[in-house]
Amino acid sequence: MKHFSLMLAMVLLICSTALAQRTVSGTVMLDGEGEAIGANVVVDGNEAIGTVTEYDGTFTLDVPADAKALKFSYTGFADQVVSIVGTDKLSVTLAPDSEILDEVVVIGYNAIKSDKISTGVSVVDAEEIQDVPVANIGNLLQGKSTGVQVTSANGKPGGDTYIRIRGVNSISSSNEPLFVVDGMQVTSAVYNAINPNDIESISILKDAAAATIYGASASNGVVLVTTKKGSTKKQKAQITFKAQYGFKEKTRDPFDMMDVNQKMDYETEMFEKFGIGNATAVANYEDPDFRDSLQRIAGDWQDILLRTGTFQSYDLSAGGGTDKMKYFASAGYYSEEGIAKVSSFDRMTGRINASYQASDWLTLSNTLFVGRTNSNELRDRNNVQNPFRAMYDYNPYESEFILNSPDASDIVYDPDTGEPVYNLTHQGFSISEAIQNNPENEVEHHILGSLAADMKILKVAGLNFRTELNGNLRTYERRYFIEPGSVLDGYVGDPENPGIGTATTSRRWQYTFRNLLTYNKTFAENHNTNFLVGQEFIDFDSRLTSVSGRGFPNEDLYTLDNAADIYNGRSTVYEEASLSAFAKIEYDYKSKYLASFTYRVDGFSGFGSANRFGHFVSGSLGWNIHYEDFLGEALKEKISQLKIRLSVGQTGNNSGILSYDRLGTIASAGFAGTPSLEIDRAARQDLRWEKALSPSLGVDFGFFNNRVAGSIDMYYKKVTDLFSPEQFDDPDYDRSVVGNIGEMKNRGIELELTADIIRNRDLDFTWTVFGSWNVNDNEVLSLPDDDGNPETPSTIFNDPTIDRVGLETNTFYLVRSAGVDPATGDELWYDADGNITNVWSGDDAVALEGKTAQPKYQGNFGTGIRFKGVTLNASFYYQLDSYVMNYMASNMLSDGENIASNQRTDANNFWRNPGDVTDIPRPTGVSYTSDRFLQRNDYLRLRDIRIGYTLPLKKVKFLSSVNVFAQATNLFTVTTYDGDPEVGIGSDEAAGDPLPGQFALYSYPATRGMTFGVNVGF
Amino acid sequence: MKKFKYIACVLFALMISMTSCKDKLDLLPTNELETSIVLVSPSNFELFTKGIYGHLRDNYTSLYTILPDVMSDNLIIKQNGRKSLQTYYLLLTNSENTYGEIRTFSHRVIFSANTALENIDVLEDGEYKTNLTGELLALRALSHFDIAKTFAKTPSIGADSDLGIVYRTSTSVGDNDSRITLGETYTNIVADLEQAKSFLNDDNGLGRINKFTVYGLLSRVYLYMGNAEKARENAQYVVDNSPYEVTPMASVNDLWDNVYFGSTLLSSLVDVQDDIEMGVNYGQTGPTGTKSEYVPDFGFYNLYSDSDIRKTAYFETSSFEGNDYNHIIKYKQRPGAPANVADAPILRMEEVMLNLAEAQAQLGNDADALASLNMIRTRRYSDFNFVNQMGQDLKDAIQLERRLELAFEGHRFYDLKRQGLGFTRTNAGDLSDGSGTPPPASALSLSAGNFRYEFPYAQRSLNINPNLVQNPGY
Repeated sequence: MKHFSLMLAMVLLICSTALAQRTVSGTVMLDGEGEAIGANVVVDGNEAIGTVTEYDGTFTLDVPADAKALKFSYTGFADQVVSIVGTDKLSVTLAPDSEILDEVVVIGYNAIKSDKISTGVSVVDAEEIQDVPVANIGNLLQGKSTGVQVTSANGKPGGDTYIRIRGVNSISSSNEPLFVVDGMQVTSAVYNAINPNDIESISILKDAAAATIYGASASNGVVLVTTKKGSTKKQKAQITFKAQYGFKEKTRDPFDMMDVNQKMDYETEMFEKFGIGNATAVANYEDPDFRDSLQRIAGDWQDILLRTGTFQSYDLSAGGGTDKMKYFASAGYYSEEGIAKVSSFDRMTGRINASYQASDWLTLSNTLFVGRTNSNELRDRNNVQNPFRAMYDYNPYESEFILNSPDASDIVYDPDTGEPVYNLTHQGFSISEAIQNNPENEVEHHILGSLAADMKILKVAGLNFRTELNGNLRTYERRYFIEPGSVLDGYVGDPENPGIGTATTSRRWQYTFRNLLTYNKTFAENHNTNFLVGQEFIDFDSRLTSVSGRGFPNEDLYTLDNAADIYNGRSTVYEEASLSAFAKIEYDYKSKYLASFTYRVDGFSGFGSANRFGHFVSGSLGWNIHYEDFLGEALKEKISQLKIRLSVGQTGNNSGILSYDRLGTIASAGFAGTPSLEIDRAARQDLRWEKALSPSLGVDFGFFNNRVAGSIDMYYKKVTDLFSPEQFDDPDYDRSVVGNIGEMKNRGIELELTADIIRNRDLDFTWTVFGSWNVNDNEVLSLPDDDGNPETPSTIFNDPTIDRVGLETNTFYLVRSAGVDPATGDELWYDADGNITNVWSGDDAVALEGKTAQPKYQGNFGTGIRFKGVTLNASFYYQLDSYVMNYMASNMLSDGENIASNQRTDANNFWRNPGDVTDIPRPTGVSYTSDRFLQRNDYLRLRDIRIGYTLPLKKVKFLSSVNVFAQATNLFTVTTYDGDPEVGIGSDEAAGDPLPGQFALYSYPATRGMTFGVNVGF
Repeated sequence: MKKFKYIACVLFALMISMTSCKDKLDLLPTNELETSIVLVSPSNFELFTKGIYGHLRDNYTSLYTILPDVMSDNLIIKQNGRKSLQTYYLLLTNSENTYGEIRTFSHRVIFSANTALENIDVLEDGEYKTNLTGELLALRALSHFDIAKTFAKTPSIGADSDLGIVYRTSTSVGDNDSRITLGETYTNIVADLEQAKSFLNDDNGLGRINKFTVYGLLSRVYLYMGNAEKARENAQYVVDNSPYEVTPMASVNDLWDNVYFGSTLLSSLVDVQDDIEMGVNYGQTGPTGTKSEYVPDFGFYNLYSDSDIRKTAYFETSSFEGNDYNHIIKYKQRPGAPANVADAPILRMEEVMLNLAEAQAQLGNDADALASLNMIRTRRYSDFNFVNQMGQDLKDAIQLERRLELAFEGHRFYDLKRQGLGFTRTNAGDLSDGSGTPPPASALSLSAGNFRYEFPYAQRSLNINPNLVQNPGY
């Protein structure tokens, strides 16, 4: 084939000499991937003349006689300009983009070359997050950037994630970073609805100087998501189809639950020795026939309530462009059947991003995303309606359905309905009945789009004006139906009006109107400057209606028009607005010396007129040492990159402050079914932003053509004016009012290192290892009424944690366990003074210095191997020195308190005789709260391992690439914790908003999974 | 060049439009009104006063009604319940585990009443204004009394110079945030009530305070103060002048079904829309029976004789998880309403009658006291036989009847406290036959005068208000 094209090229060359032009031909290779199919080839300086390479990588192009060079480009690879002076035949190999330094990074309202960045920004490329079998973007960031802690809230399909950038910065306000998708500030519900396959890149603005441009919303860092836009370089459409199918299952518990005999024996011994439990049941156990019948029931509630989850995802996209137009379009479908029966999540998405150069001064562009998610939810709160608790609590001798006694084999069927009759267990409830008969469904629709016009104005080179309108519409519908005749209806319903249905609909609309003026100018050849000035107005408006009905004739008639009685109706309106102006100057001298300055002023409707506007300033300096001539050629050869960054910036936090918090208000209420007015809260006109000031120092390095590369960052962050919802309470008027009350600091170090141990182009073999590590240290610096005396530090109690001056925020505050007295079997505690006692008292709780849910150290490491078409990647995540209050263990090792429920097998290791050394005390029937179940949570987890193979496809004309892969997630874990270590929320509907990982209380279990997929390019 | 002028115009227009956005930051809520604009309109006073009763309802449908039984010898925790309020049951209250809730709603009532009183002159002088002023003063006094009986000693056993509470007569924060003496506290409570008495109408409708309510409350307050003569005087006034009666035996069930109101001097009306299910504090009933949180102390339960209508009106013995329990059904369900929705009693004629009997007995007037007591007993026991009781016997009989009649209505703990008594729970379990898990030894009794009779202020409140002094013992 090559010979043929060579000959063809020669023929063409001969033919074309007659014209005032000539023909150039050749082959384009992609480093490590073989021939480039569809690579762009244009005349350098005249991009109107060009072509794309054939399926075998060859091209032939007629070029004007004066053409000096050709420019080659291909997605994911660096552009290359090759001289054609004196030659008509070229052999070009394009290097992957990641190996070059001049990639352009989105940093907030603009994008600059990475070597000119002097602030702390991490970039996650699309490539790094592709094919991960989770539904949302938040999860994809796990382990992708040092200093960015990502914890799944739980294992729910489509579930949320917690993201913490450089520690916890607020006591009572949000600690989530600001998410910006294509210029639009969005909430987690919106970014989680986006199709991850649409993402081009994610920039994480970690330090304050980088984030200042987002001012008042940025103190927790900023995550900038940029979606694919197509490319003018790709005349030929890049069509990609991706398909995935996989399985998930619950991660294994490091403990066992009692089986039928163990539980019966345990109950018997507990009753006989300590009088704990149910006399009748224990008497029955002595009857061999009864015992026998229970043994026949023997079931595993985890088997009854859980299943192997499955998920599938399909994605079809097309991107490309002409010299005047770029486009990217995609359609995606993701569907997951959760590991807990009934739970499911599916998502349909579509996107069209396009831009069109309408004239020499005007470019019009849009992004448009539409999506729909549909999920079947399970109750996730710590009560009998929670299947994740029931699967531990229900006894192995309790059957799912009522069985014919005494044989205990046949299921009893309801003579009316023909349905099996559920066994209402010791809790008076059947969770397997509830998940069937109390369905809860949530549907969301999302539209996220923008229209923008870029204008080159006044014929001044580099002067551009952009006006942009973004809109985000999100609707949410929740339907919850307690079917008539269901068990729950028996508890909460009205027998005269059976069944309760609730329908909630909310609609959120946010628009952003933004104007940006940018001016890029190089003065005196070497002084490069970018100026940016902008204004932004964000308006948010949310409406909710909710209504309940009761009295349903039938379980199939679930809409509320079937209800005999409509009640609990309400509708609400909430609005929020912010108005901002900002300016940024970036300067560099020969790319060697860098400086930037940013200023933003933000106005927010939640603050009173006195403090409505907040001002935020930052500056940064950078030095690209590797561009310095004094290094000498020898050193320059070895040092591919060496940059020092120094920055300081201010940011703010206003999340959690509502538009009307500034006002003292009286709210409408009801009294005996008639309207009334109630005092709601006092005015806080002086409420103002939480402010963070953070200096940070960083070094980026790369040696030996970036075979070894990495970065070191150090930061300090002081947050002042912390919000607290209660500290300004009038003690004799306890309505909660938000006020600014304290200060805290975070400081830390982040390291990142990547090394190509083997990089052999000839063998097409690379072996890369990478790792990251960071340490973060938090301390509360001040709280109200601090008298400065270290003996009496000011404290806020949150149960089971405190905020206290001098300690980390959310330090656990508990009675200290002192084990078990071997002589008596008594559970022992330390009193407040450190003396051992066998009398528990809540007064003996103390601050457990250094013990919080926030890990002190965390990071990741992994490896990647590429040999010819085969890739193998593995990444591990680790965290050290965090603590979890394990209420689940406390309930399952309850010293007799929860004897009616199943217990862990090790509950049986209780103290029996003097001299026994055990950590399970002599059962008293009461379980006391102490740090006995506060567990250290160090863990290491094989987050994912992926093997992929790119098929050699030279002969297949219509295909450009086919890649097949298999990927496993959470395959392997080691932990000091007594459960799955990735603890997010304790329980979805649990009161309060503790730190992620603060306690475990039966939420949707974490999963491990296996996925198979194929990515095809046309 | 024209094009650029055009563009310049567009840019200018955009800039202007952004500036006008500034006004859009002044957003106002749709379900709240700014405080400053509410109490300038007379019509809002009525709505606002109803809102204060809403706060009162929030109080009496929660802790004030159940805690005095949980923290005494009337209730014991059911082992397989949800263990709600366990800290209180185990007598382990401290400044960090007893949050401010018990005071919260009282303070809302007080703050709101003061807000309204400060703006009362918006109303035209006349009967409406006078009566409303009386209601506001009574609401303020009742809520202060609720705090005082919980956080301070009662004057009947304490000295006037003992710690009282913060008594607020204005909304300004920080003016009066120290605890005044016990004597001053009760002087203020009585002053507000006595003033209210003279302002109020005879009838303000169900759920609203009227003149007789205040007389009835004063009979209670004076008993807490150890002033039998005044207690008798106020109770006697209600008995002699008011239309209220002791609930006849035939209506006892109707009373708890919220369809009979003949004895109700004041109750917190709970509407279905309020989403308040006070019965849940005691237990929830489902297809497998009632899952109780608390069940009666076994010894206490046995004080109800089979001929006592209250035994079936207050209790139901049924099986749950294979065991029989005595469940409390006083607030289980109003017919036609969702489960556990019921009104919360605050003051009923039976208490006034018992206050009268107690005061009469204290004053040595045994004959009258016995007659008052029998007003209750004849309406409760199907086999009531007149017995002539005197002296201490009579006093004991009055207290017994009070405990039986007013069980689960927020009295027991305070009745023990004001008489300087301790209590001992029955060393029996939570099952209907007294088997099961008894209270732990540490929570079996509370000695007379124990410091836990005065609740601890929440640490949070102490942190915020350095003038607030914690009660001894915590």
